[in-house]
Amino acid sequence: MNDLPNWTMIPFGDRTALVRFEETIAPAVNDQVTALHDAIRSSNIAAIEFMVPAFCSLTIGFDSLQIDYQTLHQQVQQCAASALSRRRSTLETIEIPVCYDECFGVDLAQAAIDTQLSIDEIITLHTQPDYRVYMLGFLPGFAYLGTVHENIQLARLATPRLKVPQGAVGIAGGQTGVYPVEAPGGWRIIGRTPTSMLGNDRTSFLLKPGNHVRFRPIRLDEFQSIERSLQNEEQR
Amino acid sequence: MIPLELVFHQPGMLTTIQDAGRTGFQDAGVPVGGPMDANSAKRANLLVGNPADWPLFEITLLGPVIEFIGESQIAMTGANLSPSIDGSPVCLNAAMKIQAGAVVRFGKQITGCRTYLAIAGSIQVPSWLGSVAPVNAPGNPTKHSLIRKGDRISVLPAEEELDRSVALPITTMTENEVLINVMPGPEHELFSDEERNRFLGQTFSISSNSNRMGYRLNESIAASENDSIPGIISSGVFPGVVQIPSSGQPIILMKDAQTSGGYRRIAVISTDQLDCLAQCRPGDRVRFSLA
Repeated sequence: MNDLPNWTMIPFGDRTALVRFEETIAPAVNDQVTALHDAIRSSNIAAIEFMVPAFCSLTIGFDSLQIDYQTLHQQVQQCAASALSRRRSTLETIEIPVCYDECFGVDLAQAAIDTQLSIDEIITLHTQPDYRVYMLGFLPGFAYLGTVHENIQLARLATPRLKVPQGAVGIAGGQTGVYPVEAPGGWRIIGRTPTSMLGNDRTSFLLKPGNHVRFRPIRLDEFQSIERSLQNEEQR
Repeated sequence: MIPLELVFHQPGMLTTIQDAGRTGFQDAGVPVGGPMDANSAKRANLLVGNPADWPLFEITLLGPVIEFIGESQIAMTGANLSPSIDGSPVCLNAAMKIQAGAVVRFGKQITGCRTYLAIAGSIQVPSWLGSVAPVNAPGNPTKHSLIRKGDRISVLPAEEELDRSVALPITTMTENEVLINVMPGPEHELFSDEERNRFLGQTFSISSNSNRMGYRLNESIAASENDSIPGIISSGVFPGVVQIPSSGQPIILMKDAQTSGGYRRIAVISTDQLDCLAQCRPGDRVRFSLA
């Protein structure tokens, strides 16, 4: 099926447009966002300055001196008509090692009380699924992953922490993610990864919408040895 | 060409090195950044003969103390923070020569919030994704763009000295109150008539909890304190978007804003109006009118 169903486009300020799909967090809808984003990127419309693909919407920033909203609308319609609404499961699954040791998983003990599960059960539920990258936002390289098992959909902290460490792995409701850098944050922290969210060239990012992610539990000694070898590589 | 060095004996309240910012990476969560008052920044660069989008200093409210190791040509635009060179007051909006060893200082804030200081030549700090603008990214690649006490910044001076004026409009400093034209945001219809009327009818004051990420306004558009404005599924935002969080107190997103958000978007301010807003300080007042 070539045509993307169920979308609308409206002006969003004087040099931006907003395309909206069905208002829900669901793989099929997110696939449509990704498909349209890809189709517009391939079409190389010079006047487009940026895009923000989100759960079920696509924001398009354009140079209003080069193109007007109506013309952009027509071009987006053409892209939508040729977009392939196919599943993005062909994109690679990325494995992220996570240490759930209590020194990293600072909110695990409380989560066990809140969910009435053991820490091991929480870890099992967190590491079982193949998560989808729905979008990037909040921080450079921060990927929103879904969907977390309903038994461990931990609510955000009432008061965010001033500092969440780089590599912290957290849960907020149905979403899970990795902090790519130290930042303030309200997600419940259950572990830490030594893996960088930056690509090797340091100008691209590890995760993109449509990727799938699995978390692999590792022990503290493996965490430390991965961390050491990454530091050695950086110094070379 | 002898490189020039600037020594920051005092960093000021918030002095950063900005250029045109980064665009095209918002899909990876990278904010745009760049000067809050883009118009004044351009003007300062053009006055010293630099390309408009070259790196320059953005100085906020309390200015730094800068010693120039080497002679230079500079220009300052934007807010009047009582700039002086070796104790003598100097003008804004003009290029001027600086002798080797001279010290630039600032004093009382007279008008506005942010002064732009351009140096004839190219400020040498590392860039990331095509821009020197400071951003919270892994590895902290832009740490040199956030000035700390004692920092020494190198500049490759320009080859020739220019004497010029610039016919760009000057960002208007306000009488502490601005009227901002807005366009409706994507969720404006989700608000009640009363909430929309309060948004357009009220005079808001800028909270001290405001910064380069966003200006928070003190007053709420909600009917009562118990009302909580619902959110949305996270969607794209950019500088100029006005969000309404659960408390009903508007947030005007500025240059370091995150690229997506879960608050309803009631309105959008056009880019050129942001330059004017960038010169407002906490306590200043804002009113919105539908464009």
